[in-house]
Amino acid sequence: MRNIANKTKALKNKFKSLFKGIPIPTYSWQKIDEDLILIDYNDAAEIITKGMIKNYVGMKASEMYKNQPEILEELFRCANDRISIFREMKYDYKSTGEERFVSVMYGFIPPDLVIVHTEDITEKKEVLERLKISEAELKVLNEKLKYRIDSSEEQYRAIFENTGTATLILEEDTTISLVNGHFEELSGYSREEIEWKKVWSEFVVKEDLERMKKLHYSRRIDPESTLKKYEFRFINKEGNIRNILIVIDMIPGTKKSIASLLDITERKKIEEKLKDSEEKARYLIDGITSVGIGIDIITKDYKILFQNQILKEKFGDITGKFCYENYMGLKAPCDFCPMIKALKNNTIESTELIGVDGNNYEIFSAPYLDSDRNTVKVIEIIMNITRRKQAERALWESEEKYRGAFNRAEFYKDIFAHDINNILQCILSGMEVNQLILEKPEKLEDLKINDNIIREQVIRGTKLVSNVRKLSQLEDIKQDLEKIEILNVLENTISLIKKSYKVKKMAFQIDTIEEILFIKANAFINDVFDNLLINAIDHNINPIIEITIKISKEQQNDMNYLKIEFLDNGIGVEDTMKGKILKRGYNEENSVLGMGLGLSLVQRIIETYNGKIWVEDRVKGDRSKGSNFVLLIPEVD
Amino acid sequence: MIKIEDVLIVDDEPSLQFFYEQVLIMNGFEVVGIANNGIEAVSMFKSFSNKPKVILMDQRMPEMSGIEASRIILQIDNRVKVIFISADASIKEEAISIGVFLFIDKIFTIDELVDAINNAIRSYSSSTDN
Repeated sequence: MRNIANKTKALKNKFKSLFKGIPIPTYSWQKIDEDLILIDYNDAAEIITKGMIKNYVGMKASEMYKNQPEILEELFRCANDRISIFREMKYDYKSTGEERFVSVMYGFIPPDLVIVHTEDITEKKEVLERLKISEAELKVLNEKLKYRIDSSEEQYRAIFENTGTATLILEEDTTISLVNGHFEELSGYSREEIEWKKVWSEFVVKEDLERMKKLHYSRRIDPESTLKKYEFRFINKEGNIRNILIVIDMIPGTKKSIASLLDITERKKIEEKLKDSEEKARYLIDGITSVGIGIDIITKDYKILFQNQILKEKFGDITGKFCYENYMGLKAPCDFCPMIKALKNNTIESTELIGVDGNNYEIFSAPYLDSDRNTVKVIEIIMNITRRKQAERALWESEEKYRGAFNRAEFYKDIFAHDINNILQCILSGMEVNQLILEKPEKLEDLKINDNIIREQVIRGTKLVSNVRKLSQLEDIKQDLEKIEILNVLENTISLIKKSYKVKKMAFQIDTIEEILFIKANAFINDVFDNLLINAIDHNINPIIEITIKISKEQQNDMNYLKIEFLDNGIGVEDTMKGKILKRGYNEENSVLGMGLGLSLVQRIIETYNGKIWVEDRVKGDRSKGSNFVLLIPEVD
Repeated sequence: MIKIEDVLIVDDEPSLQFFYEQVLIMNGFEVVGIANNGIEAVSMFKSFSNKPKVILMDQRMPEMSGIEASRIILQIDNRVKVIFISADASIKEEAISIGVFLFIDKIFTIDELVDAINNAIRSYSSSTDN
């Protein structure tokens, strides 16, 4: 028993030691007479109450906590209900007068003890409070961050939706995880039908698929080296094929890629058309080039923008240089430049010119409009027309030749129709008259006269034929001129005429300044003198035909001429006829009919000598006194 | 032989003028004048107080042609009988259209000329008698 008592005492001491050594302030209350009495406390309680607790030992709980009924109630509830209660609370330490946060644990120990542990959690509470504040701040921060993230996501989504192109995000396994509205429009599917349900390969034509798959996997291995922009053919829900330009890259830090798809079908069509037009234009230019036609484009300020091969071969590559300098060797734009007019009037203009190479060119300038329909430059087509010009000249010469031949034919017809017929009519009529005269002896004297007239007509006919032949020679053969002494020629001509006109009484006189005079002429000078003298004889009704040939010198325009005047006492020439009398010929529009051919031949011959001929009255103002045919022929020393 | 009638000769060729005159005189006609061209012919015709009944008219002459001169003369007196003489048959139609009495092609004989003049005088007489 004593052992038990000793053991109990030892246990009690051990408990008391344990109680005292608990680092948490602990108070021991015992239920006595329906109240609880403070019976003990430990060292931690003494420390926290600064030793004041000893004054409260033996005090009833109802007294100690009369102003703190919640503590009192918990004490009794623990004692009566034999339960443990834990709570935190503010507590006014009566011993120190401090208000502290404490955690209180009421523990019942049978049969009648209530052990109260109190722990000052003021510091802990403050830390917790601070933590609580931090948590709130964290929450606010979190909210803010969340908002920012949400906002950012919204922004990114807005951007994603409004890129202006069909945009989609592709997973590594080719699944389409996100698309925007433009992709819905492009594909014809809703995003619900696409996202996480379709793979991009479903939208690619078979021919392009293999290439794109390679790019898809290559991009995930080496994104930088993989093509990021290319074209492919897209199949939409309707099965229509669209040309697409895709721009695709990896989303950093993921295995996803983001792709933008631009529908370039219409652009491709335009490009095709453009390509077709360009091809046609190239064929056209090549075609034009192949036939030797030059093409260039010239700016308003005369600079060459473009040359085709023909012009490059001919002038070198002179793009950027002034056209007038390089094409024409000029220092300023050409006066006849068709592009000036083409730019001014907005019309196609052309001109012909001779280039620096001596060739003939025809240039067409067509205004070239920019997109605002302003004329900013011209397209020039330059054709070498030298051969055409040569052909035209040859044709013209040929035409001239044939026209001349035609005119000659008409002229000869005219001569035969009129002059020869007149001559023949005279001869026939003369012969018939003579027949009549033979029957009338009293008229026999007239036979001789008529015979002479008939003879003259024969001479006239012969002369006419000779003149026609010589006129023809003058037209057909270039006449070489030589130094000819004229007095000798003149005297010989007079001598021959005298023999031809035996029955006519004629007086010739030559007045000359020198005995020997030279002109630059040829054998046709005989015909000049011959025809002038015959004209003077034929148009003279005086019994004695007087002809004076006056030779002098005259200078005109620094040229030395011999002036040879044939003065006669014939019927003269009407003033109105003085300008026309020399004009008869097959090239003269207003040639005078019925005037003979001799004077025309004279005119032509004198022209080939670079000389002059005209007719005036022998006595000025009185044509009835006869004519003066004046020749000016270049003199030779 | 008909009674002496007046004839005007118009031709620029002196030799023909000479022979025409001889032929006419030898055949009993009177040559009232010889004109060298159309202008002279018109001028002479206007000057005659007693107009000739017949005119021998050449076509091709300087200053004024036979056609022009005939047109003017016939406007002055359309009774006159113009005998047109030309080697150019292409103007025959025009000559007839303006009222020329007869067109004679060169080359002709004296008999043809005299017959033509006689016909012209007969025509003139019959038209004036009416």
